Amino acid sequence: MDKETIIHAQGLADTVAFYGEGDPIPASRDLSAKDDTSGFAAVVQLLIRCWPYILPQILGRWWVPGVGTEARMAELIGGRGYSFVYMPPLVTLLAVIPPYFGFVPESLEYPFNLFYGLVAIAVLCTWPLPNLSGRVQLISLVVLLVSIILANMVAVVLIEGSTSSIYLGLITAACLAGWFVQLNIGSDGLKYRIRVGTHLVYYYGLSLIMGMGFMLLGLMMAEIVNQSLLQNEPLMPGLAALIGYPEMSRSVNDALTEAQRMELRWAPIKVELALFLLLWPLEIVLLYYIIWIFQRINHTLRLALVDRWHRLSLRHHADHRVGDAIWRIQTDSETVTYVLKVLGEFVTMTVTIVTALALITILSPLLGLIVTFVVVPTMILARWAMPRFRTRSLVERMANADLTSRLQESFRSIKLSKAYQAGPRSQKQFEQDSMIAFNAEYRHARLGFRVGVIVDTYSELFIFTGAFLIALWVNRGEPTFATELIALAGLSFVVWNLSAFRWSSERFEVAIGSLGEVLKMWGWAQDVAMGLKRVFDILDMQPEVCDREDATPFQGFKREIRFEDVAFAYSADRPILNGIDLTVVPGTITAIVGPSGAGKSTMMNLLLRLFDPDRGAIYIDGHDLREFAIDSLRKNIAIALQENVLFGMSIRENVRYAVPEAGDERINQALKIACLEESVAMLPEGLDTMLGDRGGRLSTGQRQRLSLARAIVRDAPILVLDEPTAALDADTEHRVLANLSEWTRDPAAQNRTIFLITHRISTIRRADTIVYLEAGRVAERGDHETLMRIENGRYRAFVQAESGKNVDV
Amino acid sequence: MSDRFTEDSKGSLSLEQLREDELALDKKASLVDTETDIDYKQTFSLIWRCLALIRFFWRRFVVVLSMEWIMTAVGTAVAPWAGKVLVDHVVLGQPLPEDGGGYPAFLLPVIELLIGLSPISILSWLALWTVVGVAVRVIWGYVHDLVEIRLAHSLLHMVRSRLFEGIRLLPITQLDNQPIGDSVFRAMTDVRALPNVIRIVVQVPGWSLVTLVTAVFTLLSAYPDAKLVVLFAVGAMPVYVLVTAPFARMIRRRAQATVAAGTVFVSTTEEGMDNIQAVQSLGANAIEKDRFALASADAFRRERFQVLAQTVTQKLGEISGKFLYWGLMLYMLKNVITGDMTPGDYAVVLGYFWAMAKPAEALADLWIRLQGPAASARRVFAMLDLEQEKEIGTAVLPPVTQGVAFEGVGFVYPDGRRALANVTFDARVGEIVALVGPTGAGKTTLAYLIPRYHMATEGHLRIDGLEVNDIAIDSLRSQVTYVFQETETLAESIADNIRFGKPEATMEEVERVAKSVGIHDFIVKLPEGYETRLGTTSSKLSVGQKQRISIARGLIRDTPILILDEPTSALDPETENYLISALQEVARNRLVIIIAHRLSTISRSDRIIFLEAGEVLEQGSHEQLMAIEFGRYQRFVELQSA
Repeated sequence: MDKETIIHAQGLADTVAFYGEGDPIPASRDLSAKDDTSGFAAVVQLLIRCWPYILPQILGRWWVPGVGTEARMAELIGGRGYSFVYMPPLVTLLAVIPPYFGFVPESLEYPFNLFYGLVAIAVLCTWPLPNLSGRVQLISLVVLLVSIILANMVAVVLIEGSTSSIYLGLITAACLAGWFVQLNIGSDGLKYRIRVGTHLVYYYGLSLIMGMGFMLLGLMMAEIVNQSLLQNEPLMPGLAALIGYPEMSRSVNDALTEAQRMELRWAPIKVELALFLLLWPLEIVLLYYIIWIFQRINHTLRLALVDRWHRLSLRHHADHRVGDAIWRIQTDSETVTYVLKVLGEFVTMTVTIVTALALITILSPLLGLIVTFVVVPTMILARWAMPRFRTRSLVERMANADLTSRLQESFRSIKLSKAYQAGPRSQKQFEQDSMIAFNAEYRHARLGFRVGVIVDTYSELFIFTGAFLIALWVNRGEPTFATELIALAGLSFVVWNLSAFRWSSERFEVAIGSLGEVLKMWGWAQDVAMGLKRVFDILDMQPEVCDREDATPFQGFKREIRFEDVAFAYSADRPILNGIDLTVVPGTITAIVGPSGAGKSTMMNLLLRLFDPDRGAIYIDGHDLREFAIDSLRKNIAIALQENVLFGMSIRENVRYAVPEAGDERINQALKIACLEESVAMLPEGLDTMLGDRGGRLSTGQRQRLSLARAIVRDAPILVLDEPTAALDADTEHRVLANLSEWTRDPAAQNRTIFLITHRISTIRRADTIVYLEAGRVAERGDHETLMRIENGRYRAFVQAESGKNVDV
Repeated sequence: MSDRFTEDSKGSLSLEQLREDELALDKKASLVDTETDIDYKQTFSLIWRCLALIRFFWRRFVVVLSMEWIMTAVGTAVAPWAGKVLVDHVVLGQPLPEDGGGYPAFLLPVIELLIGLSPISILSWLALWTVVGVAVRVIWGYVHDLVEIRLAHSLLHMVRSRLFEGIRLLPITQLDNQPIGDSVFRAMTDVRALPNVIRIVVQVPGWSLVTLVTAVFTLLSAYPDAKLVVLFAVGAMPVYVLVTAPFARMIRRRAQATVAAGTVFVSTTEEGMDNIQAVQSLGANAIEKDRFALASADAFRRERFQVLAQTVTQKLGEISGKFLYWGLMLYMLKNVITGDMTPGDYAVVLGYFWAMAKPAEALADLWIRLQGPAASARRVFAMLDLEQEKEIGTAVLPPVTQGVAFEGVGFVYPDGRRALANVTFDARVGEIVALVGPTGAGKTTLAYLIPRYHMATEGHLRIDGLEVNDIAIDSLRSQVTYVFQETETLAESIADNIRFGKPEATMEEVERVAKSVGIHDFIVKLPEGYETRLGTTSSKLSVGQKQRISIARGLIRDTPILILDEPTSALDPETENYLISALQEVARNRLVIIIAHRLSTISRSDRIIFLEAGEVLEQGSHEQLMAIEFGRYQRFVELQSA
């Protein structure tokens, strides 16, 4: 870096404040908390609106034998003749038989009363599921889910031994089977279908298994190391058998010898190694899997967004900046993947807080009251902070979208700004926008820090108050509150002592800390919701031109294209077309001529249904264009645009852009007609030459012919050429037009109809009909000779002007 | 139609396929920055260049780092002891030892305060200190966070602005090949890697070392003979590095593939949106959506693969670290079993082991974590390093009074294609000179030589007798106005569009040029008149109207030399006539060079230069050239009026 660059760079670096806001964001691009329109309900609604994009990953799709996997999403419960009537009897049998034969303890003592009670509820709830519908079905589904989860928790936590866990595992599996496999017993025998692709269910199922694996590992390690190795107690019989040291079991001896312990040292390593060999790969796979699932959800939303955007009319696009579209598609849509996380954390934290609060209250209602009291400042803070989180997030997102637009627009017109020495100005504008984006980001982040500071301060003060209170009680040896309830929870704190201190201050800290976390997480959720808002704002826009419900595919035309009193305006006070009447028959060339701004291109835009007319209609063979499906209509009209649009791909891909299936032969033929074959052949990489998105490697004339070739390769019955030869020299123009008319009259092909917009007399004269357009109306029409005969005719004047006044026509 | 996601997820896990995809993608991502391979040497130099940026922020950096370290050190050293006081002397009510035994020396002055006090008084003191401690910690953290985020902003703003400038200053011919999406991705996404590199190289080791040293120090002061534990914990570092290092290149390649795919994704989105009129007219909505889906699925897939490669590598490192842990466990358990250590010691020492292993692992992981950002950093620096427009001239061009003289001028593209050969002609102020010839004859190339968008490779090109190459670019271009063939509207008001090349122009001037190109009447009829905002994908104006705005934009600059590249292609003959008359007016004290195909335009110029295949075949006035029998120009005219 030379000295000048260093000074320059230092200047840039110092523009950003050391800390603090920097220059205020311009009012037009700023929002204050008062501008917030979302509110709590709106945020929740936005989060819920994502559900349709997440749901397919939960419900999956049906795999039917002989048919394969269906494209549509599977139903939540049943439907379309399929059912799972086998499930309730199966579950009932599985629930009754093991206790009946004594495989699981036949006891109604605590905790078995709780356990069997939950099982009974679950079994009862299975019966309405396949047999009833509506609200009862939904309620039983929810109750079934809750009771099964609770029963599983009871089996694992409260009941010793693994038989009850296995018993309940079987019941759970049977319930799930009803969800995964469904039968259809109809007249043509038994059919079945299997639910596949329920990725989120697989993922959370596998995560659960992995979590239990790690827990088991931890328990075994602790058991071996703490009990047997550190204090020489023998192993529990089951564990001893499992890890292959039966001689060290509790049933064989009372204590371990030093030699045995020396040998046993290797056991934890073996256990860890064995389990890790399973769990590590699973961990990696699951990480990859969840990324895949989230990306897929995001991908679906992105596609919906792009699809909608592409369908919005040009009127919308004229007012919308491209950079904003990029930002919404790339960054804002990403927030959909955070919704599940928000939801999950919210549920876990709520459970944590409620449990901790209950346990604390048993020990000391005062402490419970303190925890409850923390809710007050939290709510006040939330009321203050949430609207600010929302508006600041929006401002930040808008600022970054603006910056992206600035980049896109600057680089789009970079040649111009170089030639007109506007570089320093666009540099300044860019730097301003960049600073605004950072300032907006800073304000959003600072709000987060501030909320963090406030939450942390009061939480910690409350936590320490609690800890000091307990310390005081321990010091005085005071009794705890509901001793009997405490015993129920499996604890034995009768008076405050050291372990009661440790245990309760930990719970207390968790409860208050989690409250703060909920607030912070909700603040983040506002940002997520604002990203979603920007996505759904676009998805909520209805395209002006869209298919009718009964739209029919366009079949090509045989008789005529008829414009009947067609009127159109981009905005009400600026009419473009004002009652066009015109009939065109197949196999003819129609030239549309007239002063610039007369509405020539607009007429063609209406034919393509880029817009629908405000008044009147366009008919093809008597059918209003609006009856046709847009895509099929546009497929049958090939257009060479006036502005030569090229895409950043190879020449081959550019030519077959709208007809991806076209082979090299067709492409070469089209290039030949457009007189571009030689130029392409001269390029070192030929058809494979990559073009920049502004086609910098080709001259304008070449680009124009490429655009023409793109229309020709489509081989459509209607061809629209908007100034196809404006950038061509006369010689090339002649060759192109000659090729074109030969191609048009190719007897092998159907009769093509051509619309030609041009100023060039040589081109116009080849037309069968000339339509002279002026101020949105057809002023004159007829062939060249007819129109030239009109004294003081508009067309005649046009031709004279074009040929230069001296040239006689 | 398929959403491209699933099919894209299947198959293509073969390494060969991956490599191929990658090369194709690199080619697609940018046509300007093509040498994309990074070897180890380059990686180091990239990291070094990121670090070198610190000098611009060293004050902020010193503040952030010292605040961070102080916070960590004080936190680890002091916080646990407050808990000990609370438990031992309040909860359990034990009196404090008279000599402060069991507490580190640096806390003794504080501990002495508490000696002899009742548990309740100790509790009150503790409460006071806690409140003060919490307040200090929270505010300290807040200030640190603010300064830190501004540090990142400052760095990003600087790099991003310089990147913008770097791209802006590329030669005009290169810019045609630089996809906009690629530039956007570099400036918005890739730059974010730079603060990451610095954080990984400076802040992470800083934090790790402080934690490590504190843990070692505390452990050794409590268990002086636990040196082996330190050895095991720190020993994990080289093992981790040795195991993971061979994968660094793979991760770097994955990261490069990810950013390349991200670029293509942004480019595809940008193209689809910017060319929306073409997309809709061509009925290509479904095709464009599919193209987008492919780019998106591809970007996602590569991102996943990068995470996968990185995770697998890190897991391998972790597993190797486990072996050392197991070794330590065997050794410690032996000590417990033989009675050299108590079970309590075992737990404490292992706790310290983990406290040391964490930062040690973070240190060992540095190299792996740097690979991803290195790939992005390369794209930023590569753009900054690209050769910018050469400024070789220093002379100031006085206002042009005579004209431009070509003398044996030739031009050969860098790839060896010849565009112009032996071009000789004079163009004088007061003339309209038309450049005529078939497409691809080199007309635009020739015109580009005058404002030095291209530099002539042979011969002499002089303006008022001064060699163009000797004139400073700014001085040269302030006297030459080029109206490009492709009409371009900016997302600004019509008035601002017109005065783009002369921002200080008054409304009168704007209206005057608008009148001279015959668009004033149209503009005033618009509801918002000159303040009507245009979009970039604007459908508000017809091409002919845009073309006239472009010309007005050129005219308003009022320079002695005016070059118009096909200014009238989309105009109807009457407007064209009107415009040419206006240009004749303008040309009275200027040099106007027009590239045109239209006879009506050409025939009214003072002099015609007929070019073919890069050579001047004929030159003279319309009448002179028409007089040449079987002349190229004559044939050209006949073809057009036929």
